[in-house]
Formats: sequence, structure tokens, C-alpha cells
Amino acid sequence: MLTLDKARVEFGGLTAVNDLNMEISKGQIHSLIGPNGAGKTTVFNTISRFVNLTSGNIKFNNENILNYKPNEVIRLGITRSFQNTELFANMTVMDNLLVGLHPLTKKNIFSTMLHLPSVRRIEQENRKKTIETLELLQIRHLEDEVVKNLPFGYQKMVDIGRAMMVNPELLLLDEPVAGMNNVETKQISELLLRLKHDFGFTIFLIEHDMSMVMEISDFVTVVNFGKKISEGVPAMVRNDPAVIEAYLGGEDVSHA
Amino acid sequence: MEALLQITFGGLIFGSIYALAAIGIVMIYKTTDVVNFAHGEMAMITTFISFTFLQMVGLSFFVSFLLALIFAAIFGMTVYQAIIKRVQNAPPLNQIVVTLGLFLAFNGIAGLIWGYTPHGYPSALRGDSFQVGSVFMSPHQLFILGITLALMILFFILFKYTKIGLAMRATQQDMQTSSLMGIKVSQVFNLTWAAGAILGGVAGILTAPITYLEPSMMIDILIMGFAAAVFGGFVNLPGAVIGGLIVGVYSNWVSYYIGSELSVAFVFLLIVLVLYVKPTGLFGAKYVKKV
Repeated sequence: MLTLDKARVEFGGLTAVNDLNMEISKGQIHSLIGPNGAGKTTVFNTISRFVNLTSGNIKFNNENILNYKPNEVIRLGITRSFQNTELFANMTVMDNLLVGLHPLTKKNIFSTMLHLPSVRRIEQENRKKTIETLELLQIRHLEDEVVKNLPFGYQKMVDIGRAMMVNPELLLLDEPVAGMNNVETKQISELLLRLKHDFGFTIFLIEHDMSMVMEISDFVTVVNFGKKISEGVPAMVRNDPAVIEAYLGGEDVSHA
Repeated sequence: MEALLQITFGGLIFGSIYALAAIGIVMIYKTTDVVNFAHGEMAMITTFISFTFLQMVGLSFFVSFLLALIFAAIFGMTVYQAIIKRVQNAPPLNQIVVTLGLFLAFNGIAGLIWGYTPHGYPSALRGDSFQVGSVFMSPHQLFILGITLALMILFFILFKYTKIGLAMRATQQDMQTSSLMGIKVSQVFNLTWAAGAILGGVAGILTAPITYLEPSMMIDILIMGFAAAVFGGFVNLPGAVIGGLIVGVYSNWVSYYIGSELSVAFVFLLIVLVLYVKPTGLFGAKYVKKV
């Protein structure tokens, strides 16, 4: 589904992503792990087209992503959440999710002003979709809250919800449980498994919570200094000496 | 008391025009991060265009008004695409120099085309003034209030309920994330400059009948528009409207009770006092924009 072919990103003299080869298969939860500064978010930024590759290629369903602008990537079926919830802080939860529907909303200013039946139908459908997403995330009660007033854990959920709005083929989640407590982490883990099983989402996950990664991932890729050092099913990666050494300095990965 | 009511009403009329100018300035700043000092001169050119349709082509007031606003939209987008886009990410000082340069350029071009002799500009609604209670009001004053109110409602609906309004609000807060949500931010910038130029154009066309039409007609309005914008918090559209009305009424009071030559000075004295107490303006909050 998504293929990184010798993807390389250099910032001045620093190589953030070093000839990375990866293949993400449809319907899987594929995690990308590594120490801080390993280049994980840069990989997401290249897929989102915010960062240009120095060399290499990225293909999604055989389409060359590099031919697309950042605002066109969502139309390919790829959405993402952010490490530091890049939400529209002064807007309500409902409006944040509606912005996530922007590419699918077909109404112009004139039909809106006249409040034509087609506009009313679109508004009803959008609202229904938004409420379904809020209920799935169990945050329906927050729909009219202004995002900046919410605790960080709820903001993370809104961030994930916004990325889910267009039913993407590939959902990129950057540390979705960072700052969450155990109960919230478990809730997000269950949500991601449900998105995979019930909705057929493919999820590309960056996460530091190793328990969660090992529990829900189908496949794990490990990077360090931008270079892939291991990949495979969680049980294999967990016991890979290279991972234990590079990632944890000798500790057991499952207890990170 | 009767004089106070009359002066206050007159202040609300000017305040409406300041509010229209302020909304355009704030909207452009909030979305594209550019303080447009040429806003008034763009409005003046739009007013001259409407005058050309009205007097030289012989079209009716409302047809000329609508055609001029279409011109304003195209003019705004052209200025953004041809000039502002190039300096959008430049240091603020460079942007200020560019928009001040446009101010002088548009002023000079208007003088070259239409001359510096003041022209009379007809009112949209003609007729005698009438009295409501102790306040005398003219049809044109009511037209100004009506148009201002209609535009406020229109822009409220635009921002609150339309797809492009949602995109504009999102882009105002975070350009990069908006782009990732599939929003064409360049289109949002174009539309913002178009909308800003339309609002300025309306302010110009409403001003001309109560002052005169000449290349420097909008300088006072621009100054008061900026005052209203700062008063309201500069990133807050309702604040700009309320700021405009307060500035209009207050400056009229100063003109009547102290002296018209001191009205601008007293307006800015009030603004200094407000900013001393509340540095973000009356309705402004600390605003952090992500780019």
C-alpha cells in the first residue's frame, strides 16, 4: 500500500532519514519506533509532503506521492494526527472535525446563503458523521467545547477524530497516547484495533509506549539515526539484540 | 440632551464606516499576516471606479455599486497575487514598506487618472431628512447603517456556516495543518484579499457622498479604521466592529464638545489609555498563530 524506497532526508549536514526502505501492507497496524531524534516524525512529514525527500521515492497504491502537494495528500486517502495536537485551538471540537471533512464537502457560498435543500442535506450528513466519530471516541459531550479549554488527553482524541473524518485508507498517528494515563491509553488501543477490524483502516503508528506498540501492532519497524535497524512482528523485534542495544541501551523493550 | 443624541447618531454613522474599514484590515491581517496600509487607497480607487460607471458610463447607482465591488474583488486578488504574495513571508518591516509604497502608488495613479479636484458623489437614497424622536436622520445615513448591518450578517453567515468560512477560520489559526486537511490556503488568501477589498470599497462608496471624492479621501478613514482595529484587539472581527462604533461616537463627541481639530488626537489618546490598561486591545486576547 505504502512503499518507501531508499527515502533519504538531509537537513544541512544532518541525515534525518537514511535510505529507508519500508512497505506498509493494507489492513495492518504498522508501528515505527526508535529513540527520540531517530527521524520518525520526519518520515511522517515526508509522507504528508511537508518535507521533501533529498533522494528516494514514496509510493501510495502505486501513485508517486512526490507529485502531490500537502493539501492533495488527503485526497489520496492519507490523513495524520500530530505529536503536539496541531488543532485549531480557538474553534470548537465540532468545527475541528468539520474541517477534517473539508475535502468531501461540496457546497458553495451561494447555495449556503440560500440554504438550499442540497446544503441542508450535506449539513445533516456532516453532522451525523461528526457525531458518529465523537461517539466512537466517547467524547460526544465535548462537541461544543472550544479545543484550547480541553485537557491534553481529550485534545489528542480530537486530533485522532479529525484525521478519521474522511475515512482514510491510511491513517498516520504520531504518538497518539503521549501524555495519556493508562485508562486513556487502553481506550485508544481498543479504538485503533476497532478501526482496523471494523472499519478496515490501515494504521501507521509512531509511539513510545512499548506495551501498546507490542500489543496492537502487526508489524514493527525500528529506526535509529534515520536508519532502519530492525523490522518484523513484535515478538521478533522485542528480542532483537540490535533493538535492545540501540533503542534501550540494554533494557528489555517490553518494559520501556 | 438632544444635541448629545444627534451627535451620537452621527458618530454611529461614521463608526459604521470605520468598522467596515477595520474589518477589512483585520481580516487580511488575521489570515495573511500582512498589515495593509494601502487598504484605504484601494477603497478610494474602487470608489473612483464606481464614479466612472455612474457619471461617465451613466449606469444607475446600484449597478455601478455592484460592478465596483466586482472590480474590488478582482483588484484585491490581483494585489495579493502580484505583490503581497511575494512578501508574505518577509520580515514585517519589509511588508510595511511594500504596503506603504502601494499606498503612495495608488494615490498617485488615482491623481493621474481622475485628477486631484474634489468631485461630488451622489447619495444612494435621496430625499429630505426626517426626525425620529429628537434625532434628525437622512436616507443616506440609514443606507449606511443598513448596508453595514447587512454586511455584518453576511460575513457572520460566511464565517460561521460556509465551507470557505470554515476554511478561512482554520487557515487563520494554522496554515500548515489547514493545508493538510485539504484546504487550498492560496485560494483562502485570494478570497480574503477579495473580501477585504470589497469591504474597503463599500466603506469608500459610503464615505464619498458625505465628504467628497478625491485621491486623499480615505486617509482619515484609514487612520480611524486602524484605530478601531487596534481598539478591538486587531485579530478580533466583532471587536473591530465595536471598536469602529466606539471610535466613531467618541470622535464625534470630541469634535462637538472640544473641537474637530482635536478629534483624531483624542481618539489616539483614548487608544493609548486602553492599550496601557489592556495591551491586547479591548477585546483582544493573546493570539499565537502557527505557521
